[in-house]
Amino acid sequence: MSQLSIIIIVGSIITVTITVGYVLLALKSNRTIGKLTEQNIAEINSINSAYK
Amino acid sequence: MRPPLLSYIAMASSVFPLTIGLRHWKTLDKPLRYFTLFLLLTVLQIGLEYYLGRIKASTHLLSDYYRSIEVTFLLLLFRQFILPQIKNRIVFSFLAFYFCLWLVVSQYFYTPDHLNIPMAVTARILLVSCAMIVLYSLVHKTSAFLIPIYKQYIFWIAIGVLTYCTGTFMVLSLGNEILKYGADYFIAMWHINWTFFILSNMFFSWSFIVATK
Repeated sequence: MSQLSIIIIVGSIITVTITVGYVLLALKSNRTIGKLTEQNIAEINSINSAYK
Repeated sequence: MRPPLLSYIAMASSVFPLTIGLRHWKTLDKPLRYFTLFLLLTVLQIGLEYYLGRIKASTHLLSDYYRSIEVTFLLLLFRQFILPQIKNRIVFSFLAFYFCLWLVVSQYFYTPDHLNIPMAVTARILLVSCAMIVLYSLVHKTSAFLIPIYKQYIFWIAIGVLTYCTGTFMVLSLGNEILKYGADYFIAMWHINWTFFILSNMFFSWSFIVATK
């Protein structure tokens, strides 16, 4: 019985940890892409203003 | 046997996102209205399960049918947010696989006095996969470059589904093993299920708050 409890608790911790890791990775990627997009927009704006 | 306090809190927690959804019904977009309808069905199912428990009737068959509704509703909801080039292929193949397996399991392997573990596990795997694909799609959609994904309500719905499905995966997949040790042990282990159910309802409630901000 206690062995089953350990399997369930450890298994649940592992599956939840994997999920949290995936979600954090998604958030980090979104942040990085967002920053790059902002930089690109700023660069395009500066090129546009230089041509005016 | 009297149900523990956490089971009542879990039951009550399912009403919160539904109440917020119904309160803002007019301002909600189509997918969120659809999700509110799903939450209404969940509350009805929980109420019916509670009633069956009180009259000491088995709830296994009801859980089995509800699971099919849950998988259908959530996969079709997620379909709206998956990248267009893969959404139909993924969602319809998942649904076809689930219902084909359901037919086979209910015909040849299902015993009414046991939890339908193969279908419960399949449903969790499909929902987790689809929720992960939704997160991937959100990160790769052009609109997500300018709006952070945590400001989109589907992110919180996907997190709620992921939290519940992964957190309860072990306890659900070993459900029949747990039942062998008696009701006391089952209730002790089922606290994991109630805890993650409450957490997922908190995420669902937050998704409505994000949508109506």
